[in-house]
Amino acid sequence: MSGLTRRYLRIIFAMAVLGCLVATILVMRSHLLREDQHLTHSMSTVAWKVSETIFEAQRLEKDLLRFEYGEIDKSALELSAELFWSRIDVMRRTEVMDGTELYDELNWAEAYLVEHEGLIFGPAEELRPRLREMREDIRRWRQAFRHTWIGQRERNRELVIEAVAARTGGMQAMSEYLIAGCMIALALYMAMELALSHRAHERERRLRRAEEQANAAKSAFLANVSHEVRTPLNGVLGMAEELADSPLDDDQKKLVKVIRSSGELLLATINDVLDLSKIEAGRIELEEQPFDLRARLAECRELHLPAARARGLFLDLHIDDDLPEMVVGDMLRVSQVINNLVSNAIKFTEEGGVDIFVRALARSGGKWKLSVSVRDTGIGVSSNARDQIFRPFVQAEADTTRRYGGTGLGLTISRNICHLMDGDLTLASVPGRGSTFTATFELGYMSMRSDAADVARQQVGAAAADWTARVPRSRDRAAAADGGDSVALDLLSGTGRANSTRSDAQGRQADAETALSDRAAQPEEGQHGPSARAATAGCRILIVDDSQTNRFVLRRFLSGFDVAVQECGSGEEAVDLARSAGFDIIFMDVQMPGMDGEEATRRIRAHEEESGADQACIVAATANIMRHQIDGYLAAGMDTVLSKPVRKADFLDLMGRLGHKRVA
Amino acid sequence: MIFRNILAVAGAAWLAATAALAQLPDADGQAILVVAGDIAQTNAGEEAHFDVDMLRNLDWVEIETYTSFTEGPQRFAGPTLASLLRAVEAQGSKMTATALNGYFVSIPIDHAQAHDVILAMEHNGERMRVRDKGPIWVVYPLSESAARAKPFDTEMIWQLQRLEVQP
Repeated sequence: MSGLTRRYLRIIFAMAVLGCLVATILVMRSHLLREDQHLTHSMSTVAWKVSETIFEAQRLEKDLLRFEYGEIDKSALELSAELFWSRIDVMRRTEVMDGTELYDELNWAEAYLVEHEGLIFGPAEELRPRLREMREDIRRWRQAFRHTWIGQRERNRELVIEAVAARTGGMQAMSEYLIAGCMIALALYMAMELALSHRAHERERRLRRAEEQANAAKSAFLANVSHEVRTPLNGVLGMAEELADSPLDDDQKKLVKVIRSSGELLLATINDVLDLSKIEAGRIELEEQPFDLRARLAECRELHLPAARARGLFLDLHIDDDLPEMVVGDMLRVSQVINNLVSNAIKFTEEGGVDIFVRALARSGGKWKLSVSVRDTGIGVSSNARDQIFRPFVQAEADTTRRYGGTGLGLTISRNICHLMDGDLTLASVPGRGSTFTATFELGYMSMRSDAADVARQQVGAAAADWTARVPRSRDRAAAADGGDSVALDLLSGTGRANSTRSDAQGRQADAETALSDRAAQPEEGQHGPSARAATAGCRILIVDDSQTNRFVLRRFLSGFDVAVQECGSGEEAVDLARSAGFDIIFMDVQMPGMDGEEATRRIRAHEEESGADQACIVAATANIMRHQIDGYLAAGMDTVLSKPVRKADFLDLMGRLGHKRVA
Repeated sequence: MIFRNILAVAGAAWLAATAALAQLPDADGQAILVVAGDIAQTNAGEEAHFDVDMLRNLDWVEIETYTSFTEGPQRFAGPTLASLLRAVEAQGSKMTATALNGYFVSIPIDHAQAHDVILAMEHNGERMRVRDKGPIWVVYPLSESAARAKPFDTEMIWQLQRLEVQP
């Protein structure tokens, strides 16, 4: 019997007991009412009978006298006698009379009548001499009777009550037991319910605590895995980059290329896996930032255009006229989804091309419902594969992975993201003819002065061409998340300490524009290469990271710079070193055993305050770059963020900026 | 002459006809019950007097019943109240019943049919004397348990003397 059934049974039982109680009370009440009426009736009946008896006695007395004086005839007297007699008879039968003095009086009267019956109903001559005597007898009897009645009234009352109670006593007692029983049962039931509910409460609390612990453990695990994997990857990718920059022959160049692309794929896979676990653990928080949707879409197209052209495909963007300019939501995630769909479309299309349709479906309750349809003329998806492809690590056919590569997670993550944004990811496809993936999602809308938006759009659009060249690597993952936006983060946080955030969309676009326009479409080093070196000449740099590999990578990147570099492997050492000697730039790893990067930063800042020393520029080197995490770093006193695995180009960029700031 | 004769004959015939319908005879013996008020049949001015024989000639029944004034089953015999009311063609909705000692009570006319009320004149085979609640006791037949509840104590008037029918 399940807990719920038991509960219902208990409730039904309690209801039944309650019903029984109510019924019993009602029955008892009506009973008591009736008894009350009976009692009243009995009492008044006795009094009535007594008064009638006295009345008839008086009438008989009177008629005896009237007969004596010849006012009435004998039949009238006889009638009076009969009436008096019937009164006596009726009263003698009344239930409470037995054993009382009143009863004795009545018996006397009855006996008297019987004795004088012959006299009363016989010949008048025999009666006449006895009239006076009889009248006297009746009178005396009447007075005695009344006297007794007065004396006995109280006692009589008690007798009546006793008689009535005796009649109903049994039932009343039973009712009272029943009522008491019901009340006890109900009280017990309530106590039991309370106890059970308390127990359920306790159990729930325990479960919730266990769940919280499990979640905390999961988060810690994810953070650890993220850290543990990215650290060596940092080494692989970083050093592969260094290798690529060094002089190589053609054969070696090919080998390095393979190393790099494998590393990139590994990174992409790890990111996807971590992403998915985060989504499934419900740990994904969607950002709520305003961004220019149209600009984003244009960027996306630009990003994938080279790849499309390389395969001889067209890539066209069709945006609805009533699509809003600015929307509020998680730009990274939206871009992630769109990029995933577009790159898939290009990947799985041999000839023809890809159309991207962006529509505003509805607007309600402060939210835009948007749809992005990516239509390709590719190989299509067979009907049995249709559900499969959204599952993790499954691609349409077994050899698809071999032919087309990919992690097999992109669609799963994209669909989850769409669900998170109150939308969905659906597929319509004809094998051999093409597929159309449609992502729907909701974004908040905000109004903005159109002129400012125009300016921002133009600026970003102009810079888009340069932008795309900067991020050739990741295809399956949002370009922004890896190289692009971390740079934007750097830029933003570089414009001012502690308080700078991404809240101002306009400012953000402006900053992006400033940075991008400075950069030409250069492969690895970026425009800042030589100028970065110049600007940071003579700087004292401290590298803090518990991983020797990571420190090595950064040192390598710094090899072309004219700087003094020191290393240490823990937060404590960093604080000591910073105290004893000043540094211009500190690259601080965030996740370290013992004292972490944030704590070390706080200490260093505190020391700078006390001693009045110049403030170093502290860069958080970390893979965790979510909004609230960045806020944390800035609050601890860090200036900017460098995302891991570190890309040489990002690094040089950062150095350039930091150097220029110093100079200025 | 002939017209007057015809008129006389017609008149007589009409009288005879009406007389043939429920004519209340005169009371020969001593009237023990007087019925007055909203009634159509009378035999003494505006009243209808009944003697023992007239009452016997009504719908005489014998019943065994319980009353709240007696212990155990009792046998009563007497005419039904309904037949009496029919005999006088009572037209009211209630009647005032008066007893020999002056006690009176109002009884709804429909009780006669609804409760099969009888005008008991014999109790356990004996004529009821005044001291036995006679000559007429208005008895409502009841079961033992119903009698215990004393439902018609006030209506069961004994030593009945007079019935006054009211609208």
